[in-house]
Amino acid sequence: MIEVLHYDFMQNALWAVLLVSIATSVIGPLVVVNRMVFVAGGISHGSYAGLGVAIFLGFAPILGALISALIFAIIIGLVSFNFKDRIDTIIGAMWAFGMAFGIILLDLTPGYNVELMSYLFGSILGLGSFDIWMMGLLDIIIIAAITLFYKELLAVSFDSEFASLQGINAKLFYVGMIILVSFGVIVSIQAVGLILIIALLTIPPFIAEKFVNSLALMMVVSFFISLFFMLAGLYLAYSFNISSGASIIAVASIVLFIVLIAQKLFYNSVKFKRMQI
Amino acid sequence: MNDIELKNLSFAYAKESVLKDINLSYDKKDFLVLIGPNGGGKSTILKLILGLLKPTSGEVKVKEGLKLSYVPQNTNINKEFPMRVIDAVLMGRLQKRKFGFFKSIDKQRAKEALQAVGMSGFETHNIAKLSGGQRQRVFIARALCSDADILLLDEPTANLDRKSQSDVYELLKKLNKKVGIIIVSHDTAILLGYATKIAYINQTLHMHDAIDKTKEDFKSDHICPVELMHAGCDHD
Repeated sequence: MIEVLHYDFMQNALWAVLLVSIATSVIGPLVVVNRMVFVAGGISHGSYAGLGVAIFLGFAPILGALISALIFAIIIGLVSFNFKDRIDTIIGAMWAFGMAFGIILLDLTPGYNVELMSYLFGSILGLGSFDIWMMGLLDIIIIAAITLFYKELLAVSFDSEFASLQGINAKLFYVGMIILVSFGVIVSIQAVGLILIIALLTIPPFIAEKFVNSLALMMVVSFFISLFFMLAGLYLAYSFNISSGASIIAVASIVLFIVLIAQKLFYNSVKFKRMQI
Repeated sequence: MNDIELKNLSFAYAKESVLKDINLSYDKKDFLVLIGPNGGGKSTILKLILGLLKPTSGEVKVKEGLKLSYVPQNTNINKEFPMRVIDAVLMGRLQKRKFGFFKSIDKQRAKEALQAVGMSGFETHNIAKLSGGQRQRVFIARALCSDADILLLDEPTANLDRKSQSDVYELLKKLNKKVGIIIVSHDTAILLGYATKIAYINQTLHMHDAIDKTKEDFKSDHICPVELMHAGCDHD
């Protein structure tokens, strides 16, 4: 295992693990407490359209994905103010459109035989240094935004009506939050793929939430949980020569399952003790 | 001018009229209770005064320099949200375009507000794990620490047991020495003990001075006698 760390692709993969953990653990708790999992799903699948355009026209896929994710984020933000009752339907339509449009463009790209699976589960071992720098840059933007606007984002998530009474532009922050989600998605999309993004945005915060009582701590605990999931998953993938994305999800799901069972047992034992008193 | 004045205020959702031609003068020394049937427009009036809704016609005037704050319905809170009590109260210290972290004076004020509602020592508790009455006190503290002159409360005692209800009313009565209280309530028990003014709202508004009017007046008008008896018992 050690000698493999000397390869560039492996070092890039480890950087990607770190950067993806940062992005998903900051964004994931916001997604979970605001019940925006479907929004995140729509943006990540919709951004496939941008990936297709970028590959078709021959520029960096991550840039294409970023542009389309931003466009979808803004559309979702606007729709959620003006057409709230059908927001999930519209996201569903964008979700499907983005995937289909992206695949059509890949089909039309001459001589390009991309493995579809590599975008569903990511290709963490196939990242170049440009990708790593872009991911790092987006991470810096995410961290700067959350540091500067933490109390506003917390307030809008917890009680947007009260926040707006205090003079906070709740709609603007909501759109800003969706844009941050799209950045988080783009940091992760090439490395871990569409399916793993959803897993990393939801499972670590869901576990973290059980042990903390603030959004900030939820982010910190989520970071260590996703770091563990990804390193353990990669190690298993390397040891057994299986696909990395799927093994990371396998680790995450098993840990989640264990936590849920442990919680159930723990609560029952507490109840049992109370009954005896 | 009074602290709050509503003049010929009307409001409609789409074409459905909710409030018609409402006139109201409020002074912050008063403990005003808004009563009336569900869907009669009580909460809508609060939101119009706060500026969360815009009137279809008429106007809302709030005296220059007066700060209003709001205690929303107890039932709206997201129970899964990981939120410390102190962080919830600090929302009252939020200000336009003041980004970054809260200052220590803000934290000081939040702690004082918790003390004022009798919730000192709960700063780091998870708000979702408090009892309904404790949580309501925290939301009152949040409104207080925004330097509010008038608190508007929407059904603050919904889903509370009788003891917690009267605790909240006692607290509001105490606070009313300094700040105005406007409260929407179903709970007519509050009327006799605490209100100084009562407005009955069902599309239109009828004003009553709680102290001047006799119980008989209310009974004939709007209040179910059974509730009145309950209310009477509470304060015997």
